[in-house]
Amino acid sequence: MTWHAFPWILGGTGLLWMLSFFPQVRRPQWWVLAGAALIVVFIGGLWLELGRPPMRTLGETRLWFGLLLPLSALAVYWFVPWRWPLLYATAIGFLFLLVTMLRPETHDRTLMPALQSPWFVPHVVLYLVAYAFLVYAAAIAVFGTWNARREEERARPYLGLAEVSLWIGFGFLTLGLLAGAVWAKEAWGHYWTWDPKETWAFLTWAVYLGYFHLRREWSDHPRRALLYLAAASVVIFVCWFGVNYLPSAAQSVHTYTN
Amino acid sequence: MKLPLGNTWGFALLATGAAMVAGFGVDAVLGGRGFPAPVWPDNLMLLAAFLVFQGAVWFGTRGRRLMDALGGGRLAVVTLGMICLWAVFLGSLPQIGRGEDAAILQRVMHAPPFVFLMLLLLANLGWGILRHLSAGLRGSSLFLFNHVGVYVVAASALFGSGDVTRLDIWVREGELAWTGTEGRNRYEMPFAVHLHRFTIEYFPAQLTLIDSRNGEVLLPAGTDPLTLRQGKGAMLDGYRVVVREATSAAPWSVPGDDPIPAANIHVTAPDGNTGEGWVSCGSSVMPPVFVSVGEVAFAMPVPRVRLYESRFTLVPPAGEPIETSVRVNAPYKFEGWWLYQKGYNVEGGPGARYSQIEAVRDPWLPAVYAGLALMAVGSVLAIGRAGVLVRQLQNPKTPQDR
Repeated sequence: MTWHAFPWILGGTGLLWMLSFFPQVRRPQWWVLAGAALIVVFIGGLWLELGRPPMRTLGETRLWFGLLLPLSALAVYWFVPWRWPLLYATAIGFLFLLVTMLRPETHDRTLMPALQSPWFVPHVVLYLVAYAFLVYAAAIAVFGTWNARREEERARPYLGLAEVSLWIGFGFLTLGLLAGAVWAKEAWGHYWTWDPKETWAFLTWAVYLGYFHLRREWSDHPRRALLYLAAASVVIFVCWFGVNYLPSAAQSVHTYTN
Repeated sequence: MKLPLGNTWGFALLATGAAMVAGFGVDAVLGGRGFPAPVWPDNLMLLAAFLVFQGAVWFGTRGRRLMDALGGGRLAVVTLGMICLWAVFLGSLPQIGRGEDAAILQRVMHAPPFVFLMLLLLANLGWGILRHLSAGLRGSSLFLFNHVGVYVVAASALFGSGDVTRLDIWVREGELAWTGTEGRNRYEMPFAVHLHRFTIEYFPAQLTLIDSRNGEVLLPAGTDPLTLRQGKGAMLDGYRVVVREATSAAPWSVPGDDPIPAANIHVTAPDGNTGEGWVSCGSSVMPPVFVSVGEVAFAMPVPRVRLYESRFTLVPPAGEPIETSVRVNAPYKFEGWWLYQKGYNVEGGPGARYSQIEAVRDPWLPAVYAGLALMAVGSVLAIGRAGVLVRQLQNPKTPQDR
C-alpha cells in the first residue's frame, strides 16, 4: 500500500470517526476503533510496501501520532466513559492525519545504518505512545482551564482525568528514554551524550517530573495544575520536531528529517 | 539574618543560588577551562566521601527543619528548574569540547555551575530518599524504584564520567593497529586490531526525474523515486519506465576503483516521445549519466548506504586471536571494551581503505544499567498508578494513596 491510498483511507477514517460525534450514537468507542483500524491497516500495508518501519520521517511519526492519540483516549474512555474527551482527542488526531495528507513527503525504502536496530521500533513506539497520552492530558487541561475559568473547583474532575493520562504517558516517556539510552550505548558508544535531541528529551522528562513535585503545592489550585500541564506539552513539540530548527541541530545525530 | 529553613522556597532559592555562585567562582579560578572529571580511584573515594557526607548530615539533622530543607521537594523543583535552564542552552546552542576556549553557555556539560547543580540535585535526591525511608516502607515502591533508580544512574554517571575511555583507531585494510587516540593524545590498547576488509553496501539504486536545464528535481512531493530492478516496468510521474538492465558495476567502472551502479532504461513520455540508454550516479572519477526525453532527464541519485562493516582479527596479548566484525549498531564486546564502527576513508580504493573503529570502556556501566533497570520498574509502576487514579475518579470518596 502506497501513500497514494492515504487520502482514501483517511476519508474512510474521517467518516467513521464523524459518526461517533452524533449524539444518537450510544457507543462512540466502536466507531473510533473502526476508524483507527483503517489507519492500522494502512500503516501495516505501508510497512510491507516500504520493507521498513514507517517511522523514519516526521510525516511518518505524525501518522502514528494521529492514530495513537484517539487510541490513548479510547484506553482512558474504557475506564472513565466520558464522551467528550474521546471525541476531542479523536478530532485532534484527525487534524494530525489531515496535515500528514496535505504535506506529503518522499518515502523511499531505505533505512540508514544507524536506524537498523532492534531498538528502533520499541524506542519510537514508546515515545509516540507517551506523546499521545501526554498531549491528551494537555488537551484535557486546555479544555478544563477554559471551563473552570470562573470557578476553581470545577477544574478538579478535569485534572483527575488529565492525571490518569499523565501517569501513563510519563511511564511510557521514561521507558522510551531508557530504551533510547540502551540503544545509544549499542549504536554510539555512550548511553547519554547530551546530543541536542537527548537534551530536549531530558527537558521533556524533567518538565513532567517537575509537575509531580509541584502537584502538592496546588492541592487547592487545580486550575494552576491544569495550566502547567497545558504549557508542558510545548516542550514535547520542540523535542519532536522543533529541535530540527534550532542552531544546535547541525550537531545532532538524531536529525532524520525528510 | 535567619535562614529560611524547612521545605521553603526561600531555602531552595538560596541553596541553588549558592551552588551557582560557587560554580561561577570555580569557573573564574579555572580560567574557563571547564571542570576536570576525577578518575579512578579518586572518583571512587570522592563518591564514598559524598555518601558518607550524606549519611552523616542525615544522622545529624534527621527530624529537624534543616533536613526538611535539604531533602525537600521545593529544593528539588528549583534545582531541576535551573538545570533545565542550562539544558535549554545545552540543547539549543552548538557545544564546544572540553578544554577549548568558549563562552560558558557553549561548554555547559563541563561548566562548574552546571556540575554543582547536578551535585546539589543528587544530594537532595539522596536526603529525600532517606527522609522517605524513615517514614516507613508501606506503599513506597513507586517512589523508591524511581528515586533510587535516578540516584544510582546520576551518581554513577557523575562520578564515573572521568573513567570513560573513547579511543579512535584508524586502521588500513591489511594492516595492524594497537594504539588509539583520544583528543590529541595517543594510547596503547590492551589488544591489537588487524583489519581484513572494510565494506560499504548500498540499497538498490533509484531513478528520479530532473529538469535537464537546471538539474532541479521534478518529482512532486509525495511521489517516491523508482527503485531500479532488472526487468521491472513502472510509471514515474506519468512516464513509462522499463528497466532493461540494472547493475551495481557499470561496464565502464574503472578497474581497481569502487564499482559504479548503473541501469539501462527505456522511457516513454506521456506525449509518446521516447528515450533510452544508461543512467548512472557516477563516482569521484566518473561523471553521472542521464537519459533525456525532451526537457526532462532521468537521473540516478547517489544510492543510500545500507551497511558499513569492518571485518578484522582482534589480537589479545594472551590467548587465541579472534575473527570478528563490527557494524553500525552491532559493536563487538571484549573484556570491558566495546568496539564500534565509527567512520571510514575510502580514498585509497579497494585494499587500501581505512576504517575508523572506536574502542570504548566504561567501568561504571553495570552500575548505570542497574539504575536504569530500577527506573524501568518504576515506570511500569507509574503506569499502574493511573489505575489508582481511575478508581478515585469512579469513586471520588476513595482516599488519596500515598
